[in-house]
Amino acid sequence: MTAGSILDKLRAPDIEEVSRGIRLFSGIKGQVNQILSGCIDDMASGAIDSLDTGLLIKDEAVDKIGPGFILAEKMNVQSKRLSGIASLMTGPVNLYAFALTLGKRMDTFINQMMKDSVTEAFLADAAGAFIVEHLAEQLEKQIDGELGNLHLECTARFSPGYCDWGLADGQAAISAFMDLNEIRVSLLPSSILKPLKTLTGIMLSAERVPEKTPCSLCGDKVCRYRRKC
Amino acid sequence: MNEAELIKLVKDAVRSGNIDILKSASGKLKGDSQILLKTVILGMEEARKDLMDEKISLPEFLLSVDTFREGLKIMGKNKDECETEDKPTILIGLAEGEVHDLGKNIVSAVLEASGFKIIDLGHDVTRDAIFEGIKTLEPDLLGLSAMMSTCIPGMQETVSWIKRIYPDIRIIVGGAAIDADIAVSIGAHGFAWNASGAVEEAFRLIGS
Repeated sequence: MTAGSILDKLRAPDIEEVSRGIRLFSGIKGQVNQILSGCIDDMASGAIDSLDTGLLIKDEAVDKIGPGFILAEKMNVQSKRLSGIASLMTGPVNLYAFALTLGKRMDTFINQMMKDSVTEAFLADAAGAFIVEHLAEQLEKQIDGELGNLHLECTARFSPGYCDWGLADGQAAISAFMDLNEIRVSLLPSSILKPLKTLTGIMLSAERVPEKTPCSLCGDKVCRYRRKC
Repeated sequence: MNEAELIKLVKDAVRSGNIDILKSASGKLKGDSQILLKTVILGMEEARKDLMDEKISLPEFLLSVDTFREGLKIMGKNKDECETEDKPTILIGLAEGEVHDLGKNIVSAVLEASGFKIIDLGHDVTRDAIFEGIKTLEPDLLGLSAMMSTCIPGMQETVSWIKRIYPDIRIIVGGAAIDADIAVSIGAHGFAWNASGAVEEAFRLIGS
């Protein structure tokens, strides 16, 4: 599994999908007037034209799983809940880390829109947010599929800030594990990734993965990150 | 169409976010520009109420903000010409380390359209820059925002420091990383979930 081979398989959404995504991410329900509808389509088109996607993937065998941590070479994932599901896995556990970016042109596009119209800037930002999530979902499925071909199972993807995996710790861990400069991504002291439409995360794999997320083992039913797997 | 009908058309154009109708109706009106100014402000206020009442979505409201700004351009006014000494001033900026400025820019535009004078310090604002801004500009309110939770400890220190030196200034915070409890722990006087809420909160703090 290489970043290049996976990137080739990721399909950028079309204008219609991005327009629907903008409406979803903007909280638009129902019909809107023609002006706004036209604006949404323009921003969807502009966002797609601004894509300069980059992907980095690195995997490493997990050396140790303890209460509250998962260690894989330089990567230390400090999370009670993630280490909890890792400890339930059967067979050697592998960690896959990824960084996915839409590139600097997307930031430029959004900033350009801000000069003339707050509406366009807001919608352009929503477009970028939708597209990076859309690609990350495909990425998760691709990795899952490739591991399945090797008769391995895997967890859902987890990003720093998710569950009890601290944002600052998580971004620092991923940044130490992979050279983000390879895809022209940098990590600021405040843990912000630039370009802004960049996602990082990890997935864990093993022969058997009984719990894909810690959600089913967690009592917090109103957690905003709660997932069904 | 008589003048009263044209004025209504201008107001409704701002409220519904239709720049074309605004331009057409404004062009036909030959009158006191203060009447036009009051009309676009009224249209903006009605749009804000529509948002508060959840009759429209945020993007539809932002169309009204853009139309309002266009209305000012049509009248040949820039924001400085519209500013009077009576307008309360808000010094606004992103917390130190923070660079996500879209939300802050939207809030600034909405506050301006709602009658405030905004001085934007930009992103990654140090406490020294805030100190200088307060010292030289004497704003009525200080607004700080952060999207990242990592910026909160720094915000807390900044607010604490500013309050020691300028105990009379009112501080409002917001952004995706902030909720009402965090705002209290930071030591802010006010908090806003969104752009429209920021207007209400700013009026409340000015009044206090």
